[in-house]
Amino acid sequence: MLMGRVFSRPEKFRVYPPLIVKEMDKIGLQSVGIVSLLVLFMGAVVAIQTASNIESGWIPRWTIGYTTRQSIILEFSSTVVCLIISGKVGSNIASEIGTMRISDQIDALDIMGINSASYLILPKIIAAVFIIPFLVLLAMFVGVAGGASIAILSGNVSFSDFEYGAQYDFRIWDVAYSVIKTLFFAFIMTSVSSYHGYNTHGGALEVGQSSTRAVVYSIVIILVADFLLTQLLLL
Amino acid sequence: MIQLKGIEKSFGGNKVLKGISCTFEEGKVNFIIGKSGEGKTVLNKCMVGLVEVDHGHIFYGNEDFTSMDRWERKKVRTNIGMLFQGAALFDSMNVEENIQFPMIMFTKLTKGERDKKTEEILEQVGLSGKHKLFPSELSGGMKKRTGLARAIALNPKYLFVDEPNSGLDPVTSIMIDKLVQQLTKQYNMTTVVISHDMNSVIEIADTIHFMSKGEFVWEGDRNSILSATHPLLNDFVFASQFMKEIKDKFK
Repeated sequence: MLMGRVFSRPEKFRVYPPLIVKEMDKIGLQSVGIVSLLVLFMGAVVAIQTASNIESGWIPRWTIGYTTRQSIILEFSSTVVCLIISGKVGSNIASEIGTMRISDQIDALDIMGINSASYLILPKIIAAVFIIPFLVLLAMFVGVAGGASIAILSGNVSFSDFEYGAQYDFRIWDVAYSVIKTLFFAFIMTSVSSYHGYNTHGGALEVGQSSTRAVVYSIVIILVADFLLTQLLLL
Repeated sequence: MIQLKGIEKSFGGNKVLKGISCTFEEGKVNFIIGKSGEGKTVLNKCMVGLVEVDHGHIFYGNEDFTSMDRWERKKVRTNIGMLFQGAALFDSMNVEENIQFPMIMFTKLTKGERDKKTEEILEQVGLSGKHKLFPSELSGGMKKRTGLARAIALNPKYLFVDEPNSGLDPVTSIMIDKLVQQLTKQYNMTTVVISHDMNSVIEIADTIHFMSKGEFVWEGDRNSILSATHPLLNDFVFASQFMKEIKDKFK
């Protein structure tokens, strides 16, 4: 029902683009630092773990590059990054909208005759669905680069071996699969968080509870969606 | 003019409003008073459409608000302004943006026209030069005045004011009261004030509706309230020692 109101005809289209740009900054650009840091270390850890598990001489060293690339592209850059973003952005959205609810700002919008659900939630959904895939593409690049740096610097693999592995059997579909998943995850994290914020009742304590619920529900739904989308897209 | 006809509202098995009927007149400051928990806020929310009534009708002029769909209500809502208890200013916008928000959403005014109108309204509410301040930088009284400025930005026909003086000092309270009264007369609005502040009632009320257990049990004006004999009203009005002494002198 809330989503029906979110996607119903807005009062004035021209007020939306600035709101969407503002949300892109909040959701996307302000997450670049944490996402980069996260995937840099994830890439490094995957590379080290792969290197430490290759005991057999029959397995070539370039497998480190191949495994790092596949892990980062298929799962870490999309699912794990989206889980992290839903922690950061989801709690922010739920607490922002929840505070507006308990301080009557949403009632003020409704009394003016403005569709508060659409005005507050739609820009966030559009912004997230547009900007988060770019974050994920950035994460793929930084993650593989992080893995390469650590694996090469620690002497586990040569640059040429890592490069060979990173390019071995590369399919653009893997990137597309990851980006497609991200579109769903972005929608889930913003809509679920907005729902919990919008339906906050009470005071500051309830805003905190809404914020926590928003993150927990977002994460669980993202994980279930990850499973279903993987079944659907990869098998 | 706002007319209420047989308004009823229940939450679960608890009947909060029990068939309220009355008329709030144009150009007058109409007060709804009563103890906390008697149904004043619920009635207010019903009148502005935030809560749907179970039975009864609410008329804005000749239009039956209760039987309208969302889009029809939208037209009526552009004629409604409301000052909330906590002002409900948008935190992310400064004073000027808060006031211009309804203009941007519902009018085709140019930036220059909006700025001119904002300037006029800010002067009316005594906030000239405070355009760029954010709600977090405003005092309680300034927030209320900004809320009032936003409420009248579209020249509404109907103004709802919820507890205008809560959390304000006596001087600022009187200033807000006078502002509500002045704007009501100036724009010929139908103003409905929800309050339990007797100072406000004595100061600016044109009509008074006393609410008890979901019903209006007494109606009158500020001249008749002090001499009224209704026991529940007397318990409410003369609850404080100060008011009791006034009553004794009045006698």
